[in-house]
Amino acid sequence: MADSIITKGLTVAFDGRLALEDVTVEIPVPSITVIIGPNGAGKSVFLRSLIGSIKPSSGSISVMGVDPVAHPENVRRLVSYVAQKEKFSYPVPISVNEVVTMGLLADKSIPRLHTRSGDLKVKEALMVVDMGDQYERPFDKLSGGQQQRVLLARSIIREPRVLVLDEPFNAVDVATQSLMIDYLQRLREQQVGIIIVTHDTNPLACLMEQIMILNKKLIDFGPPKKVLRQEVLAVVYGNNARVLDGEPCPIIVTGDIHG
Amino acid sequence: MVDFLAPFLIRAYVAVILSGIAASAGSVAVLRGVSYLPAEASHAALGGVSIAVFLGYLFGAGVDPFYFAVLFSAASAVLVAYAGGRVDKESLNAALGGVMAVSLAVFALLRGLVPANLKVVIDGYLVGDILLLTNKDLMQLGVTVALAVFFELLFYHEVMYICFDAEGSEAMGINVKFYDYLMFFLIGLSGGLMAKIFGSLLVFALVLAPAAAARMFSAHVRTYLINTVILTVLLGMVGLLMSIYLDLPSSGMIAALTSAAYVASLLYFKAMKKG
Repeated sequence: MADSIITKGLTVAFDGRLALEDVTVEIPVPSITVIIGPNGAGKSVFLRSLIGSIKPSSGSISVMGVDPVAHPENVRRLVSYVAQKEKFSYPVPISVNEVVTMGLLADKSIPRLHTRSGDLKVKEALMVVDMGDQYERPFDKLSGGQQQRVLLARSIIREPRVLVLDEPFNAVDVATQSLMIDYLQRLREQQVGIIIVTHDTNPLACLMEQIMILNKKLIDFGPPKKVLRQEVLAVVYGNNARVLDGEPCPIIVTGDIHG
Repeated sequence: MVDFLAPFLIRAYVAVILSGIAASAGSVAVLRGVSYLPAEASHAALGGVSIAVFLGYLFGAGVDPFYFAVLFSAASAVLVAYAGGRVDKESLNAALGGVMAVSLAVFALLRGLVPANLKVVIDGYLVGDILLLTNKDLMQLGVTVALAVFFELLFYHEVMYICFDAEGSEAMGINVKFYDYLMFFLIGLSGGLMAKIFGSLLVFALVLAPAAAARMFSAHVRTYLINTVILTVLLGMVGLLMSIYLDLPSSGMIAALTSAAYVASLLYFKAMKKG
């Protein structure tokens, strides 16, 4: 199907160790899909397989009808990926606008000349993530949350059909998180497919349309109300996790619950 | 009275300018996290020259050591990238040490097998002498520098993006592997030709010290590369003139100045941060 991401029996191994095993799933595009799983469950490997950065040991992947192993360059025009970033290479003195310009120039032919219209696009993308006033600022002088917003701007400037985010809310304050979620919602309204790996589904509780639980194998996939059950949550969060009843959206609580 | 416009001095001035331009590769090495690579490549030049001289000695054919030197340097840098896996800095550093050890072993072995008159050719790359460069040397250096600069300018964006965020660059469709190898190749090439001008022993001081100093007062990749070139040329010229005036070895004088500039910049910026 051209409007979905399909994996069939996707298996990925590194150095003789399985990172993903026999994952078969169909993610509709557009939609918002959240992937959760314990550490080392293969969540990031799954995302990187979708963009052709990691080759599967067996199985197949189709991203909107394109095979990322055979045609990674075609998939990378459809999919924008925001990697999980704990730290950047700070020896590189680079400004906010240059980081966002990367997204624009990456699709151009060498020598990737920057134009005035491109500059306007960069400014617009920065305004969208509320970073318009930081245009000239060195990237390494920004907070973690601001850096994440700039990286989001770098991804969306490419006008992808699918946006893939790996732990986008790490080191992000609540205000930034809320701003990013608002923006993701707008992207969804514009028919962009969004796949997010996160440890905490609660900020996305009312937005997520599918949830995918991974622990090297696919544990479950489907609408949150169907997937978020006690036995499934135990795989990710342990036995103390449960979904709060009576909430409009599925809120997960972990640890002891009083009252 | 020294004639500052003597042909051998004019050639030395040109060599300083060429080395300044080539030193921009030192900045790229700093950005890429392989600061020691130019020094490794310049030592690999010794292995290349030794092979060229040894082959010439064995077969009596005239093999130009310069081409062997720069190609060996560039190839050794690519080998470092391959052996080090390009990503993990510890593996890269280990590979760097290993490849340098091989080059030095080749140098030490082959140097011992050639007669004294040929040892001089090899030793020229060990300590260098900017005042002995010929017009042919300058032509070779000029072409190599032009080649390196052409690719640096053509792939400026790729180099900057990969140094900043290799994973993100790959996800955006940039062929990280290809450009990374090309980057290592060009850094190696520059290290090799710097060995020809200043001698491999001092390349570290001449390539890395200005690049590291320039990094401290450059807020942008483009200005960083330009500042490195300006600083290297400026210190190179001052060092060269001082060495002539004081009758001291030129490479040593220039290396002393670049090292002093690095230490002074370091102390200044440390003091500024505290203040």
